Amino acid sequence: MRNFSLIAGMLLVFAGLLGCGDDPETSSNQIAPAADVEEDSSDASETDVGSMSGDVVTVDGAQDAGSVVNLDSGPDDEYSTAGCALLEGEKTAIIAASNLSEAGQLVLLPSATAGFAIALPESGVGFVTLEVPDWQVVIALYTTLGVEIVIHDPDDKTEVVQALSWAAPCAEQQITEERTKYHKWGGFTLELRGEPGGEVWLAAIDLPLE
Amino acid sequence: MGLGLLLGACQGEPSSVAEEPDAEVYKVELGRHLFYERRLSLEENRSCGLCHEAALGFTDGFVRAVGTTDALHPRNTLTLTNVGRRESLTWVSGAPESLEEQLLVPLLGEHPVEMGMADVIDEVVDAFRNDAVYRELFPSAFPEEPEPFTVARLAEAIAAFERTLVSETAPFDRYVDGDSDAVDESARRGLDLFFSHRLRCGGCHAGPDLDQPTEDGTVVARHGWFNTGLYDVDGQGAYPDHGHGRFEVTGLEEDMGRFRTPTLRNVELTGPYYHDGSGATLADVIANYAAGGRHVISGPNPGDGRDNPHKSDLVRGFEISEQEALDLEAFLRSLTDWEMIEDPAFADPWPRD
Repeated sequence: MRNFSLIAGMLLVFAGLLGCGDDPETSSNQIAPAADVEEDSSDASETDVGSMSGDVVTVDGAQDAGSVVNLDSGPDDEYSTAGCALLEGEKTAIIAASNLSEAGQLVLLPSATAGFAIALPESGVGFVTLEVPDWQVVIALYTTLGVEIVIHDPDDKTEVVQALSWAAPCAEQQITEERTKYHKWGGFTLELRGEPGGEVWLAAIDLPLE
Repeated sequence: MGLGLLLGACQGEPSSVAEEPDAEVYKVELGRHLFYERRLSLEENRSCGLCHEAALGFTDGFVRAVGTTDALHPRNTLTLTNVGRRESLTWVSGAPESLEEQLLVPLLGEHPVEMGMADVIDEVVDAFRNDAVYRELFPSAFPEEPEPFTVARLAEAIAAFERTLVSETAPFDRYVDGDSDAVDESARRGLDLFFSHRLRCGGCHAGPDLDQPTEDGTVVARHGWFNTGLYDVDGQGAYPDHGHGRFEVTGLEEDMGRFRTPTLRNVELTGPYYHDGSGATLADVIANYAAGGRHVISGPNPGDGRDNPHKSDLVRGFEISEQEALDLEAFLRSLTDWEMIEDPAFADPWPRD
């Protein structure tokens, strides 16, 4: 499994939110250590949390008054515009599985026209399956600050191409994005960590093949 | 239960081929090229071979298949391992009965769209006349045919290739043939467990491809359809809307949730499992059978499949130790035929970037 949201996890620590998903199952050694993600990040300047170089937006952490979260701003393009619209608009309500083995019962496809409001179990940790429909495709995941998304990737078929950033058109709404390249298609389990019993907003948009 | 009975003669052997050997060789080779031909999908992002990839035991790795236009399918993709031996080619029904007919479903079907070629297939096949490879292979494969560039001949060639996807050199096969060192001790224990009275896996998974039902240790049919207690979303036995099993064909209440038993050959590579890919690992599958069905506790389809009124009597649950579960997995892995998986005769013949 590759933790593409290490940075989100760091943010959670930073914002004093860690612990909302302390389910024993999700604290297994399947969660990649920080070193793994650092190895995957070819350009550290794009992934450093708190980097002040480039376009950096500073937003007060919503759940912990007084904390400050620094993220680079992601690309301001048609995909981030679409992702923002999906998260700000009407969303399809779905219920996440509470454990890894049931994640395959809930299948999502990337879509530029559908966003999801995913109900988490009381543990605050939910699981869904993202079907990646093509080889060598980049998929942008949009969610809100405070949500951690872990992509389970036991076969090492993915790499981060745009680390966790503010979604440029809607940073003020504390919507984040990260872009991941999938070298092969297939079903990938997404582990969603958020408020216990809460709701996670998610949009997944696949970018055209290069 | 005797292993010989369980592995008895397959009832679905392909019929003999009438063509001259050379033409048949060309036909298979033509079929292999067409099998991996991406121009046979609307967006040129699918082929038979991409969705039935050798490294994945001739499946696709999706939970539920996704078509060329990103349509989500209701089913998990079945393996093509030993598909020429089967008489039923889908999860729920016996039709279509031939590979030639069946492959037109993904190629031309629109509900759901798989390869999406319904409106353009004739045009694409006709354009193959201008392809250097096909200009040679089509006439060589069908030397008696004045007009070989047809959808029917295309289907015939792909089916001929698919019939060559035979697995019979797995460690398990060598063990059955007398090579006692072909599988390790754990797999041997797992084999005994598999066909034991306690586990009764052989009640549904017997015969050469471990996909035939038995009664009293004797194979009784080429195929069986069973409700294995995966769901019970309404407390009355219903399965989720994406798959009601044989019920979709017969409309009979007792057929709710009954799906064809798939072969276990190469099963190590063909996950995720079940008709809808909702079983992530072999360990999950074994655990569900041990429990006598699956109790879904979360997500969109909660319910206790163990109490499904349509569940097969064969799915009764059993006690199994941690080591025994590992042994069972070891046996299942002994069905992986690496010689077949890595056979260059089954590989993509087209140059790729």
